[in-house]
Amino acid sequence: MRTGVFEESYSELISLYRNPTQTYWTVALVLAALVAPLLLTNHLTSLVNGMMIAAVGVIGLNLLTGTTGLISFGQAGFLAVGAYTAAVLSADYGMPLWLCLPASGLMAAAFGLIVGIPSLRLKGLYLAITTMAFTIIITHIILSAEDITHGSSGISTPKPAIFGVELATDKSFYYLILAILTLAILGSANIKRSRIGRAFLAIREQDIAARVMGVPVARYKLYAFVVSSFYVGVAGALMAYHIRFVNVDSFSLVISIEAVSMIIVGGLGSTAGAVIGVVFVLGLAEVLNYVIGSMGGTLGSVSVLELKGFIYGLTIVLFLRFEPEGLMGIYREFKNRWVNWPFRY
Amino acid sequence: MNWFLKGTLTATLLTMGGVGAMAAPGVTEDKIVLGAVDPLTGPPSLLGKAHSLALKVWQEDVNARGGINGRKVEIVFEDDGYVPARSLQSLKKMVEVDDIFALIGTSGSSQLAAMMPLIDELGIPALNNMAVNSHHFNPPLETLFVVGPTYCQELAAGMTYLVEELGLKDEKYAIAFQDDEFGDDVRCGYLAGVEKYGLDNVLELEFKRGQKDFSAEMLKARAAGVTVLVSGGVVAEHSTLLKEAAKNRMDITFLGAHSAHLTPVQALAGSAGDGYYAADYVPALTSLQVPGVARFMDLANKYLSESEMDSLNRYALSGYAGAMIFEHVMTECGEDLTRACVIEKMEGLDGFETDGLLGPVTYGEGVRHAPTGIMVLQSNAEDKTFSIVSERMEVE
Repeated sequence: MRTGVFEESYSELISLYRNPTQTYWTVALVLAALVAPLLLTNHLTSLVNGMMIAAVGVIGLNLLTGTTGLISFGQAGFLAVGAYTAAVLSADYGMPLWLCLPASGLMAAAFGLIVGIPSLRLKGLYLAITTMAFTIIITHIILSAEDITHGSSGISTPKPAIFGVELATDKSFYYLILAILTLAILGSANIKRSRIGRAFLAIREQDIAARVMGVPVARYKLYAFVVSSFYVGVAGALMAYHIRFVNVDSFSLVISIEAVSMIIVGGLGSTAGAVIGVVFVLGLAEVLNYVIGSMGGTLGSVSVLELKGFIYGLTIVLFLRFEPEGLMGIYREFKNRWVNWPFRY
Repeated sequence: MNWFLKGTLTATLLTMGGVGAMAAPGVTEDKIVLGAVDPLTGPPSLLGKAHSLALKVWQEDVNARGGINGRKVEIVFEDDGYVPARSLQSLKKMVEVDDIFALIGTSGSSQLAAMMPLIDELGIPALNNMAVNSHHFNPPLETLFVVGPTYCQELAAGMTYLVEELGLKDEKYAIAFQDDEFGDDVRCGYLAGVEKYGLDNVLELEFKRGQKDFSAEMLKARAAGVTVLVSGGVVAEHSTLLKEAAKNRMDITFLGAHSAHLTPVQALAGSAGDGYYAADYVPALTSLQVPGVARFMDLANKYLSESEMDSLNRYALSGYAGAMIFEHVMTECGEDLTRACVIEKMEGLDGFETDGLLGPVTYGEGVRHAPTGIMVLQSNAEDKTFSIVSERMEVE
């Protein structure tokens, strides 16, 4: 019986998979993800697509907030930059999707660099407010720069197509999003086991100590903002192709707050936790919709509708109160009990 | 053999034809499933709840009358929370899971814009009677019909009333408008009026969506000597502007779009909300002299609870009028109810009457917008009602 994982060399310590079991589970998960659209209805596939797109952005936020400890409420702004870049380039300039996706990421990363500069001097709530202001500024720019962004009218994006193959259906688009999500997860996992990732962690734990140890804090904070914004920008581009319409209504501050709640619910600093957090928060809303719909409460009683928002909020609050390590904390505890049973540790 | 083959072939084709006719999505022998996407939670639920309740009233009523050509109506409601991405998801769900025949609730302007590609691709007959924007019908989609004027048309008619009926030609005009599509549309109508009558446009104040404090704006308006203020706000902004005007002891004439025709605007404004004007294309809920309103209120009293009655507003009337249009065209199609037939009958509507709820509704080949006539209503703050103060005006 395996009683634990013991790393005996540096390479083992930073390996992507710590034991064969992880590899098997990963292969099983990838296979399940590949066959999922064959089993799911179009509606469920569309919901999963939405979750995967959110996961790409939340993994980016997790690198910034979870791993580096820089609180950001500017994700809605970066998402808008990515979505609008893709929409403008594809609808007005006819650029293909394979160019629009990296362009959106790069544009958001450029804005991330600008927003990151105040982070060199600000921390905690002050940084949160600064990043929140970014979303408001971006919304204002979008509404004002009518010649480029079409102002408040919004932009309809063309059907997604890659190398001449149209991805018009949710099922075909699913595989593109899955590929990008896989790259995002691998990218995040690799960043975290590299020199950069360890610098991020050092900054999160104590930035003065990190500086004393020789970590160039200013540079790595900007890295964190740039990388995180790139992820969110790509998520924005995918969102533009998924909904096929963008306007400022889709990028409210609530999105930024929801994104932060997702990484807290999933487990701060964990890539898997970010994905699980997305599934939990977005899935909870859908489950509540289904339950209330099946109770006949979609319309009948106004109070039932209000109850939905109450349950949704209460669940997240209780989660934060009683399980601050998030779903990944629950998983780790369960795994320890399972592995060590009948002993406590 | 030849006779047998011909007979079999004919029987097969007839059966297929029958099946084809029955196979219209959402239509079975005894039921028609319709869908409505509405904001039922969050601040804009003020609009969505009223709209959905009207559809519920119509559903109960039409089923009590035996349904449409013997088929009962079932409406599936989805809450989009006024978020475009959720509107699209809701429509996808209704198409796949609920198998809807048509869409009679299309949420807000941006929300409908997000659903338009799917409506077009799947050829779903849809009627927008809630938030009209020129992007919804220009260029027109084959299956999407829009009823009601744009905000631009509404405000232009309101300006006509101010000048021609109230004689406010030599006043100092100003507009406060939100920095979005809605605000731009309101400003369009204001500027049309200014240009048409050569009015003195002394001030244009743009404000951010969600802005709560208008003290600076109203001080500017007072300094400019404004006597007529057009409001391009959604709900709370109207009230705040009115209260600021009262606080600054400004004697102004106030005009808003149909979003000002809501009792919460009156309630928030308090005594300052007495006497303001709102341009709208449906009458007030209390205009019982209008046959359509009287009938709707009778039915609402019959089918809705007391708390649901409190949620009704002008969006209920526009929703009910939309349902009347849909009932008419579905009835016209007879037993062979198909999407193609509904679209053809909608296109053929020429001066269709909704018992005074709307002006005559007319569509045509390539014409998917029926602006109908516009009237002006005046707020009575004391008894929290609105009175119709103008004739229905043709849209220019």
